[in-house]
Amino acid sequence: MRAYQDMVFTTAARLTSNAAQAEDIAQEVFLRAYENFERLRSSPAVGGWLKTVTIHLALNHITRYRRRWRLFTDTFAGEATEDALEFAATEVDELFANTDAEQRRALVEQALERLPAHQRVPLVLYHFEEMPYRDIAQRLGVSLAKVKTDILRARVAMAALLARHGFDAAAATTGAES
Amino acid sequence: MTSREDPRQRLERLIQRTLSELPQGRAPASLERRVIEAIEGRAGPTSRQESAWRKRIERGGFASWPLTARAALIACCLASVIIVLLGLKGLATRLAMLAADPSIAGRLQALRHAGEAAVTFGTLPARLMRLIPSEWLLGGLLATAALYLVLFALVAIGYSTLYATPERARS
Repeated sequence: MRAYQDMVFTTAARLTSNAAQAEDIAQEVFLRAYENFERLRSSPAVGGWLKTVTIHLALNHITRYRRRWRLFTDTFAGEATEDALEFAATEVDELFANTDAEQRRALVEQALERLPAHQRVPLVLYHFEEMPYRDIAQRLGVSLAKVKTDILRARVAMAALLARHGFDAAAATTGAES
Repeated sequence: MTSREDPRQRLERLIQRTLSELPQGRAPASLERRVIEAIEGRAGPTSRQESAWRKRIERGGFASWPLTARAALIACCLASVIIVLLGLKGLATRLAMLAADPSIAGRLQALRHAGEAAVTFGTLPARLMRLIPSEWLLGGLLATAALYLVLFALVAIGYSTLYATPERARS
């Protein structure tokens, strides 16, 4: 359990954006592993099994509360323009130039926490869990187009959050140095 | 190089680079203790057997039940069907005998009248609806729809303003 608890907890925490819920999910994952101990003890794919169960339980937890909001997020969804995308990419580029790795880690964690669930979940599945768009759409029960749009919006929103906090962090660093 | 790159791809690449830097978090120290306590709570032989039995039923369905359990269930179902059929047959015979009795026939007539009265009472709302002018009905429906739309818009605007648009952080 010690070898995998950080991975299980981190996966659940990134999806739920809530440490208490992530701990509950991690507990349930290890209880299921205990129930399947005989099958898993000699399996080389135990890490994959734990990750799959973690994602499954976390998504079940999230989707329980998500359906009621889906209509609103679909209704008030604007399309990101090319200029907005270009601007967002430049902001992330500048962030790398102006902050160190430790600052970026804290900023990215904060930005992920602030994203709404309908953007954060597909973003995490795509970038961290390396799931293809089609699998994400199938798992979340939404259209492929919606997944692509939500992930794109999540990237733009994340870039904006990183830029806003990144400039503060960079200014603080510069101020401390001078 | 980046100026010619598609902005979508550039943003995806940069976000991927940003996220890939993120190290794995640490599980709280309480997790291991919680798991052990939960396992100890479930570890009794009865609960383990119950859990295995429940899991077997959930995963495999009827086909995965033990043979004796399947045979017993089928026997119970057949016995129930036979009992119900025999009961219905007895009931029909009894009712036919009762209906032939003149004193019972009078009571059955009263029951029939009560049934007709119930049907008449059931159609009362439909009759009342016919009395209301259609303009009133239409106006009521339109007012309800308008109120619904206003409420929907207020909630949706509130949600999108307060929660759903972190892009606002840009400004």
